This record gives sequence, structure tokens and C-alpha cells, in this order.
Amino acid sequence: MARHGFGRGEYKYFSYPLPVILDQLRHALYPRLVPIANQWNQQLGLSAHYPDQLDDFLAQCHRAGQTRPTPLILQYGAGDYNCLHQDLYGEHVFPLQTAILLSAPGHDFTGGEFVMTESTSGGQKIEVIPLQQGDALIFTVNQRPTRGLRRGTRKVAMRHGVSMVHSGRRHTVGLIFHDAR
Amino acid sequence: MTEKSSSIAGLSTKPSPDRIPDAIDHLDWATIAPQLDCQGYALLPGLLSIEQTDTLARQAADMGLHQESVTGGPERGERFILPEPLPSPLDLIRTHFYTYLVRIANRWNEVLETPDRYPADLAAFLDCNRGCGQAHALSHLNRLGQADNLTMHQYVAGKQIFPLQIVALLSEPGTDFDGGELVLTEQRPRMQSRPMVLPLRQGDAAIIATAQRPFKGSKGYYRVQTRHGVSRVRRGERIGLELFFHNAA
Repeated sequence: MARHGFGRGEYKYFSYPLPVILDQLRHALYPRLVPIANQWNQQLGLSAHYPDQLDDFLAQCHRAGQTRPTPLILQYGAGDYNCLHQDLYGEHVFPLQTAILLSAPGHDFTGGEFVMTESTSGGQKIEVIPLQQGDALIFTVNQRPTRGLRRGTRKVAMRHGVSMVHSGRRHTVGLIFHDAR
Repeated sequence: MTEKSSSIAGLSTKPSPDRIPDAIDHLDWATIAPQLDCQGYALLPGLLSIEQTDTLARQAADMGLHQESVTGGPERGERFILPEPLPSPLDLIRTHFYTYLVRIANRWNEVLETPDRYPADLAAFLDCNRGCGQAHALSHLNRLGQADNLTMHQYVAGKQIFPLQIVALLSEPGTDFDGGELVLTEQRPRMQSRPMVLPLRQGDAAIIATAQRPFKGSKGYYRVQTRHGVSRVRRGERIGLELFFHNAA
């Protein structure tokens, strides 16, 4: 990870078939998120319309050459961190993704907060999301619509990352719905 | 560093302002300087006693200080510019920290090949500031209520910017408020930004990079940009302190 300037830490992508629990979560979450994703695209003036079921969306990804699975497991030890980034792997992007914290903050590790930034023309807002062991988070992959300052809709760009782990080990699973080129 | 066990933790039980120069002298500067070089911040657990933080927080409410909205946009936090001379013990903290930080600041300018050098004492530097039109005091308290946040920022209005500043937390996380984490981001050329969450409790302070600092890469030193902000306060009220060594134009 350090080699790419993304931060420090280890990560590993799962291969197909995914572990059963992750496959089930990915399939069960997707249809719930599709209405939100489609509404966002409509508000942002994007033409992409997501099919109701994950397998149909993945078929679209695969036809476009995005065939590699994106769900991954990450391990950070003391001194590791993850720079603010967006998980984009090709033309097909599902705008929401999930992270699940597998370790107990304060017990298994200290530091290692999940951080998001939200950028608009008005500045950059920062969020620290308090996760406990087993908690999951649904968050924006790259952009989402928000209410305009006066009227209408404006676009905010979001990035996510992890602040430095001070001690111990922190494990997370990332569930991304689009596949990678 | 997250434990309140550093060499100045004794301040918490000895709030008398005249102890402060002594406590600053006894900080582990051999550790702090490389931390600032590597991370752009160094924690100072227990710099202020609970009594001192409570007094300062009350001043924010009572002194009728010049108050302004913190940022444009939807944030509703309030900023209270502190009068000069700064109220005790902040005056002592600022003048005494300067004598240590000026060495780091000048070293940073040296490695970045910036010709400017900062004078050895704060009064002389502030005179230089006023001489070039930087007359507005910057040190302030900020008060954030539920749903408030501070967007990522730098105080860099003017030509003479001191590259380090001090921040402190006057409220207790988990008791007085939830959320409201102090976050730094470090932007490096052609790389993604690195986020840092500073674990502060009431009375804890940190020295942070104001804006630019040198970072030693594989091909020598380059400039990184540091910004700081406060994440959304989810509950309660958070009072923070920002102490600056330079004025604004």
C-alpha cells in the first residue's frame, strides 16, 4: 500500500466464490440500496440506472471488463493508516459501499478512526464515524446529491480513509458492489 | 501518548500559572521535535488543568468577547477572538512555547530553503507582523453546539505565518459532548491526503503545523500542506482553543 502512496497497511481481495456470509450480505444489501442509488443518479443528472438485483448489475460490470471481485479484508497495525480515497475500479460504479469493523476499538486497537471528507465549493467538511466491533457503515463511494444552498441540488464529493492506528491490530471488511477491471 | 502520563501531567494538580514555564522546559523536546517533523503534530496531555479549562470556557460566555460566525455555509459554530494581552495562563504558554518552537520553525525554513528566519522572542516577531500590516489577533476560543462542525482550514492571511500553532480542548469528550474530533489532513504533492485524528481530552493540547511544513521524502525535502478541522458535534457543546504566534492581515 505504501508503494502507491495510499497509506500503510495490508489488504487482500477475496476471489469468487466469496465467503458465504459476504456473498449473502452483498446480495441482501444491494436491492435495498438500489432505489437510493437510482434516485441519486437522477438528481445528479446521470443516466446510469441500476438493475434491481446484484447479479444483473455484476453482469453489466463483467461485460465491460470489470470482472475481478472487489470485496476485501484489511489489516492495519501500529503506524498504519489509509489516505483519503475513492474506491473506483472502472466505468461502472455503484455509489454506495459498506465497511464492517471486525475488531474492538480501545481493546484490540487504539486510533484507527474511520474518517470521511465531504467537499463542496464551500469547503471541506470532516466526519469521524464511531464504529464498534461488528458495526457496519454504508457510505458514499464518490459523490452524492445534497440540497443546494438556496435551491435545487448540488453535488458533494466524498472520500474515506483511516487515521493512524496507534496500537494493536484493526481488521475491517470492505463490501463494494461494482467489480474491478 | 494517549495516556495522561507525560512529563507535564503534573500541571493538572498544580494549576498555578507560574509553574507553566517550568513545565514547558521539562517537556520531552527530544521526542516532540521529531514527532512534529514526521507527523506534523505532537500531543501535550494535561497542558491545562481542569480548573484552567473551566475558567477559560466561562470567559467565552462572560467576557462579551468579539464574537463571529466561524465559517460560511451551514456551520453555526461561534468564534471568540481573545483580547491582547492574552488572559493568563495563555500569555505565558504562548511566549514560552515560542522560544522552543522558533528553533523548529527556523530549521523548517532552512531545509525548505526559505530565506526568512523568525526572531528569538515572540514580542519581536509580533512587531515584525504589525510592521507588515498583520495587526489582527488570531488566537480564539470556538464553541460548537450539536450539529456544528469546523470545515478544514488554515489561518494563513498574511506574509509572515508562523508554521506551528497550539490547539487545546476545554470540554470533556463523552461527558460534555460526543463527536467533535479534531482532525488534521496532510496533503502531499501528487498523493492522496492523510487523515489524522488527535485523541484529545479536556485540558489536553497539541502543537500542530499551521499550514506548510517540510517532509523528508526519498528525494529530499518537499512541502506538505496541513489543514485542521473538527468533525460534527453529535451531542452537547465543545469548546476548543486555538493559539497562534502570528497575527492576520
